[in-house]
This record gives sequence, C-alpha cells and structure tokens, in this order.
Amino acid sequence: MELAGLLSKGLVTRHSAATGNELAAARRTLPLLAALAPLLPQGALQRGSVVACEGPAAVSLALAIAAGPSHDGCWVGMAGLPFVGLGAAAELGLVLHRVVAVVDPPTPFTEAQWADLAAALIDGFDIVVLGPALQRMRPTTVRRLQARLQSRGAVAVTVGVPGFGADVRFVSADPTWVGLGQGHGVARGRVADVQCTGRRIPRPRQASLWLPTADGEVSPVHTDTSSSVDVGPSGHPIVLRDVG
Amino acid sequence: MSAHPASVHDSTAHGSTVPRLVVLWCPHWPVVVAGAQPLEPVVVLHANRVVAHSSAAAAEGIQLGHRRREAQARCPHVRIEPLDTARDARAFDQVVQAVGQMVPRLEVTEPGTLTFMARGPARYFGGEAAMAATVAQVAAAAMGVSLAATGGFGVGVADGRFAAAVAARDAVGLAPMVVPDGAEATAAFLARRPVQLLAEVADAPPEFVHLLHRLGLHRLGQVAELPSVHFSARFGAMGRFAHQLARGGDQRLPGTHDPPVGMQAQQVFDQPVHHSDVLVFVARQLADQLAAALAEQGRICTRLVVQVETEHGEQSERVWYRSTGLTASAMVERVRWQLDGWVQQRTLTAGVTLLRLDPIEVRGDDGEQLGLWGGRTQADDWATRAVARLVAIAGEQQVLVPAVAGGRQPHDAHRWVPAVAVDLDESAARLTPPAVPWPGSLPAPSPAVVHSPAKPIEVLDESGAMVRVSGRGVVSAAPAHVRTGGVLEAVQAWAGPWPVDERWWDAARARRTARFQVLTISGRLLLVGIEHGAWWLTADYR
Repeated sequence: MELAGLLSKGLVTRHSAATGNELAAARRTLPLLAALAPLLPQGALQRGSVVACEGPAAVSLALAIAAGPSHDGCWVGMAGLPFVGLGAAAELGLVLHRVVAVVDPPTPFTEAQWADLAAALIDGFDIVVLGPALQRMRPTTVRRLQARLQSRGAVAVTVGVPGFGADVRFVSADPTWVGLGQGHGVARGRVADVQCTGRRIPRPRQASLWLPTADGEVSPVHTDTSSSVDVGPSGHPIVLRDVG
Repeated sequence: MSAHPASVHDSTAHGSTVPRLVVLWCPHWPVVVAGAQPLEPVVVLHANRVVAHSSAAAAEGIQLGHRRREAQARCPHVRIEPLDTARDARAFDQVVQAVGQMVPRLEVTEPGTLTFMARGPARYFGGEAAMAATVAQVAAAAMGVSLAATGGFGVGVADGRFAAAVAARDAVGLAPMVVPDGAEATAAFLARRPVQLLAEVADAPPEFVHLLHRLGLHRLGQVAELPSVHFSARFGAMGRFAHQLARGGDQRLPGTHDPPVGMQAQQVFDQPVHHSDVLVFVARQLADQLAAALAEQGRICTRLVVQVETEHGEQSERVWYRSTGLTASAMVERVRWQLDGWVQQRTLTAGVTLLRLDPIEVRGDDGEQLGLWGGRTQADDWATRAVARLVAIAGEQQVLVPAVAGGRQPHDAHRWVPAVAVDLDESAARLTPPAVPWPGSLPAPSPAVVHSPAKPIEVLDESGAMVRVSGRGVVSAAPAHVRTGGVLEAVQAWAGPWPVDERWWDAARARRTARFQVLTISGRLLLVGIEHGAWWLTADYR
C-alpha cells in the first residue's frame, strides 16, 4: 500500500520494464525520488558511490537523497549528524522506522572508533549518511572505507565531510524562502538551484527545486514562462476560487 | 497434549493432561517498582495508554487502557511514570530468586507473574495448601518494595495456567487460593466469572470479548454450556480456545507442542566472558539462529529456557513464556533481564563460560501479516544485526532510533531513543504519528537541523539593542540583525512571535517562550525563541 500510494503521488520512479539489462541495472542502483532523478544520468544512485551534498540546503538535500532508497526498503544509517530534524526527514520522505543513528558520547569518539563504526554501518545499511564528526578521518582510512563501500554495494551520502572523495556532488545554491514577510506570514517553502556534477557526468546538470515545498516534500519548480500562471509554494498553479 | 479439536470434547481424557500449576501474581507490578506510596495515585503509561495503576488511582476511576488525558481528567494530581520493563524485571528478580530456592524450574511470564508446577513442591511441603502458604511467606519476605499501593500479591493453585491465574487474582491480599483438581471442579470455579478474564488473563482480543457480551454471554459458565462445535464454527481457533478455558482446560494455545530434540542453541566460551554487552551480542546471534531454525519449520517458540554458567560452576536457569511467541529480539531481551538480575544479586564470582537458549515449547507460527511483499526482508536482517554490532562498539546510549513523542518544539515532536530499548521489528507503537496535529506546533516544512540543547543567539533591532517581547506578546522593535558565534547578519524577513506557555500548572517544568522565524540576508532561515529575556537558536532550516 505504501508503494502504491507513493507511485500515485509520483514520489518514486517505477521500474516497470523487466528486460534482463534493466533488471541488472536496477540491482546495481538505488532509486531516487522522482524530483531528483533527472539530475543523474541513470536517474538513480550507483551502488558503491559516494555522494557529497553541499551548499546552504545540504542537510535537506542529503535527507531527500536518502528518502528514495528508504522507501524502497533500504535502511539508512547516520553517523556524526546529531542534529538532523526528524520532522523534516519524515516530510521529505524518509521512512523513520528504518533509520538508525550513531552519535558522539560526551567524550567524542576517536578516529579509529569512527572508522570501526562507519565500517559497521556500511556492512549493515544500504545508505550511510556521514556528517561533520567524521571530518578528521585519515586518507588511508577513507580509502579503506570506500573499498568496503564498493564491495558491499552501499551508498555513502556525506554532509560537510570534504575528505571523502565524492563520485557525485550535489551543490545547492541561491536559496529563496517564500511566505515570510516583515513580521507576518510563515515560511512556506524554499526554491533552490541544485547542480549535479561528477566524474561520470559529462556535463553538469541543473534543476530548480522546491526544497522543501509547503508540505515539506521536494518537487521540481515548473518554470512556465509562456503563460502567466502564478505558481504557489507547493509547486502547483494557484487557482483562483470564487468567494463570497 | 494433542491439539486436535476432538480432544476438547472429551473432558475426562483432557482433564488428566492439564498440569497443576501455581501462579504468583503481583498486580500492577510496574506501579510498585515506580515506588508508589500506599494512598498515592500513580499510573504507568506505555504508548500513551495506562498499562498499570495503583489502587488509589483505580478509586479515582482510572482504568487500564485509558489515555494520559483521560487519566489526568479523572485524577489531575496523578503521578505518571513511563514503562521500563527492564527495571521491572530487575526488581522482580529478588522474588524469583527467593522462590527459586524452593522450586526447581520457575517460569517468569512477565515481570510480576511467576508460574511453576505444583506437583513436586506440594509433595515436599505436605500438600498444596501448605506449599502455597510457604511460597507466599517466602515471596512476602523477599519483596524489596512495599505492595501497599496495589493491595499486595496473590498465590493461586489450580489446573492449568488460566484457572491458576484467576485463583491468584482472587487471592490478592488474602491467603493463597487452592482450586480442587479435575476439569469439573475447575469449570465450576470459573463458571460465575466474567468473560473479561479471557482478555485480561489469557490475552484474547478485546473485540472477541465484546462480541461475547453482545451475544449475551457474560459469564464463563455460559460459554462452557454451549457445545464446542458451535463455538469452533462461529469463532474458529479463538472460539475453541476460549471454550477450552471456560471448561477448565489448559491455557495452551491450540497447536502448541514440544519441539524436536536438539533445537537448542548454545555457545561455549573458551575465554570466560566478563562483559554483559558481549553476552548480549552472542545471545543475539544465538536467538537469530534459533528463530531462523524454528521459522524454517513454520514454528515460533512460546517457552524458552535461558541457561548461563560461569567458570566456577554457578548456574542461572530461567524459563520465559510469552503466549504470542518469542521473536529473536524478545529472546535477547529476556537474556538481558536475566543477566541484569543475576549481576544485581552480586552472587556472580567468575566469567561466563556457557550460554544456552533452549526452546521447550513451540507452536505453529500463524504469525502476523506483515506486508504484502513478505514482511521481513534481507535488508531488515542485515540492519538488525548491524545495530547489535554498533551497540557493541559504541555503547548502548550512542546508537539511536527515532520515536514520535509529540510536542510544540521541533526537538519535542520527535526524539532519538536508544536502539536497545526498543524492538526494531515492532515500530508501530514507537512511530505512530499523532492522529491530530499538536496544537501550537509550527506547520510544515519542518527544520532540517534541530539544535538540542538550543544555542545562544542575539537578536538585535536597528539601533543594536536586544529585541524584547512583553508578557502580552508585543515585540519591542522589528529584528534587524542576528549574531551567532560572533558573526553579525542582517535580517531580510521575519515572522512571530508565536508564544508557547507550556505546563504552566507545574512550576518546576513550566516553560514560557515566544518563537520567531528569521530569514537572514544570506538566505538562512532560523527558528529562534526568547525565554526569560534570553534568545536561543532552536532550529535551522538548512
């Protein structure tokens, strides 16, 4: 029911074709939310890759990237991100009952402990979200973790960990919040430009996204310049209603 | 025991197979552990429902299953405590140890309930009545806590688990109750009891009991009078089970039987283990193996013996029972309780060399319908195992899972709770969102970064003075700048104040704050609050 509902809402892209090649490709990749899929050439995350999220909307972006596989039954392990807002995570589409987080104790973990923890996370979870606490990791450790990532077929999503060599970089820029005035209103969504670059992406791809919409979801901004239809913060045209 | 429906008709043949059992029952044990005073109204909540209450709370009209609000409406000064099964099990262990001195094999059904076979001890002590009286004395001496708030405990002796548990309920605060043996005597003892007991004692679904009421069957005797065939035809397995209980049969679910020999899982440690974390980790592996082996045969374990042995030959053996079946994580939880209890006794002098899980009763797993695509997936198994490993590396308090708590502030609405404290397979209670929005909470979208504890921030007006909010919610001047960590930023838009006045009736926990959304010139949206004249950065929409 969960999946059917999502398909009808267009949140998850459907792999309906069942040719051998496509099935094999589906096994090598993890699905993305429909709004993010056009940013990557395959429309999905390559297993074994490292995805870096940067810019002012980095945390929302990381949660949105993890949300697609999470809907598909994958577990999401988080390390070094003690501050993730679970409300936003749920709204972006993360399935909370498949989320586990490791946080620093009062005396922070050493580099070796974080390495062990990251390795255990990679062994057990398909998506591993790594945060700034893992910044001080040595390059040798990072390489070992990446090798493990590839053999296990998991995907690492990093936020504020530049030391991890990223295969794909999602960079958010020019965030514009709507709905807030001078002493009135409430934030009802943010439009941000998200650019996707990477080693195997010949030409950077860019999209303007609601990240998040008024419902907290992520959806593409429909730039329809030909008509003068006003676009509301949920991404749908505002329809004027008869009142009174 | 044969589980064939035909055997239920034949009460004489059936009666001979029902074991004589002793049940010791402490009503509302979690309340007792919470330290309830004799006349103090106390309730213990789990998933916002009352699961135990003191006698004083019951006198105010609080019943099991009430919501927090309903309980508070009936008794505003009621003390509310969260459920902590591990703590309850630890506290109950003293009683288990004391009774275990005189009885060979004890079964802890749940913290607060003990069951054992009556036959051996009854012979030793010269009769069931004498034995029950001795057990009651020993248990009373071993109770580390006062039972005055819940009216004491009861000991009942009867044929089968159900009748013995009902007898124990009758005996609460009184002398032990011994029901004569034989199916007729048991049925006569039960005949005038309400059918609610089926739900309260035997875990029958409440809807089933409601249905019996609507059919005009209010007493167990009325159920027993009807032919078993009709009950089976109308209600299926549950009806057959209820009928069997009402006629004085055993509370063994149909389909329960002894497992094939050699099902136990054990681990011998060459190096004695001194850390309970390691033992629990091994127990998790054993439990997974055992549950998988049973699942292969389509069965689930309902009664499990956990045996632990140390280097010096000290032994701890305990029987655990769960009518709905023990999942792997439930088995691990039992091992943890048993180890905690043993460590607390301080009788442990050496490292552990053997851990054994032995299923002694299994039944067909009619199971729960989990999902259309086959419930538990490989990913779930991998993740559950990874969690056990993470806990072993990082410690129990460092591995967290989300839980819905409900609240107005972003850090109140969802909380992180230790993964070991919850059953990862059963997320429904932990993550059911509230049916209606929490009044006063901010609308979606929610902030992606929540600072807990909140960080200090300065919110300044045009002239550089701090913005203030009066008691009536009037802002002194429009925020023009914010300063965090020494960096000053201009404000391009803002909204607020949204006042929150929480728990004003409780001076110690009352909070009065006004929230604002502030959008800086660089495009950062912040959720800030002013409390007692100081500004705090609560969340960041990053």
